[in-house]
Amino acid sequence: MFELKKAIENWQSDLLRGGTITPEDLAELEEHLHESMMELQEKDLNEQEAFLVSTSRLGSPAVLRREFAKTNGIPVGRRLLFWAPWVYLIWMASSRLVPGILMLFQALSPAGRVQLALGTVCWMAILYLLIRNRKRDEARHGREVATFRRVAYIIATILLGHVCFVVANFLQSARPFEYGKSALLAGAGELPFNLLVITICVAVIYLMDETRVRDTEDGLTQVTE
Amino acid sequence: MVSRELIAASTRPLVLSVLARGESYGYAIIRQVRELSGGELEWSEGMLYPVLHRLAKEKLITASWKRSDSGRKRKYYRLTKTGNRRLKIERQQWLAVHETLALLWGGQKCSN
Repeated sequence: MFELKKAIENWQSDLLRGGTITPEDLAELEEHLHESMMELQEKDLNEQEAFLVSTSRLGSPAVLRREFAKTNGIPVGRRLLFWAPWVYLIWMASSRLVPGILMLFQALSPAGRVQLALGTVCWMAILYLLIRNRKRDEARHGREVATFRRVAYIIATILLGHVCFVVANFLQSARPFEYGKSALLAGAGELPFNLLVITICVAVIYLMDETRVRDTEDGLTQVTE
Repeated sequence: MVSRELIAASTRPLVLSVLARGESYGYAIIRQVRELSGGELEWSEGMLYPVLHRLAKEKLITASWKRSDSGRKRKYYRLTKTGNRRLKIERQQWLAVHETLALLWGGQKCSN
């Protein structure tokens, strides 16, 4: 059995999610909904049909939230929550990879050092391509896939940093210890904690992605796609 | 049916022109544009509101809540003097495009 009051409440709470649509905006949209429904009901549609047609004409809540965000902006807390996991992941990746590579560089023979340098250049080239082709990637594969690729790259960088640490320590251990076992143990002990934080970061990035706003043209007809 | 890009580009002059005829509100603006265009201009309705709010931020229109006949509150929009000036500029630009196309397609030049 269709309950109009409940359906409207659900629709409203969906629109208010993320805080980009203010209660005043919502009141305006609701007035629009009522008027549109009234007109449709005069054309012999029942309450449920009128509700469904009217809400779909208004546009999906996700698109509306994004569109209103362009005018109202995203609340500061939410904006922080969006960027924090990215900043943390990038910081973690660079703070693992740079010392890891430096340690490995010292531990390797001259031939190994050349290979390491080449490997590092290739790895950075992937980063460059990911940044340069971001928009094309998003257009071709969808935002979720593009985000997934970037996150996967950062996680791979973090893991690569850890591998560099471990290998450097392994090579060093044949010689008198320069970095000591404690560095290796710290690296290994850190890993489960890092994985947990990475999981949280990925979850936050996934949940936040929807309200992300980009400077595109007026999205007036996005829903008609 | 008019293309997505053209609809997006023409929204502002259309809204300003509707409001130049007098105060109006979201649903009525959409209905008026739909009727005048014979259904060719089909907006996805909810997207009009962010556009209206942006125009209000630019002080081209003003908004005020009033009670409708049905007793519910409704937000009415009205063109400001700045909005009127902007509409004149937009009108010149659209006419320039229109006239060029009309001449290319062998029509008569517009009178204004």
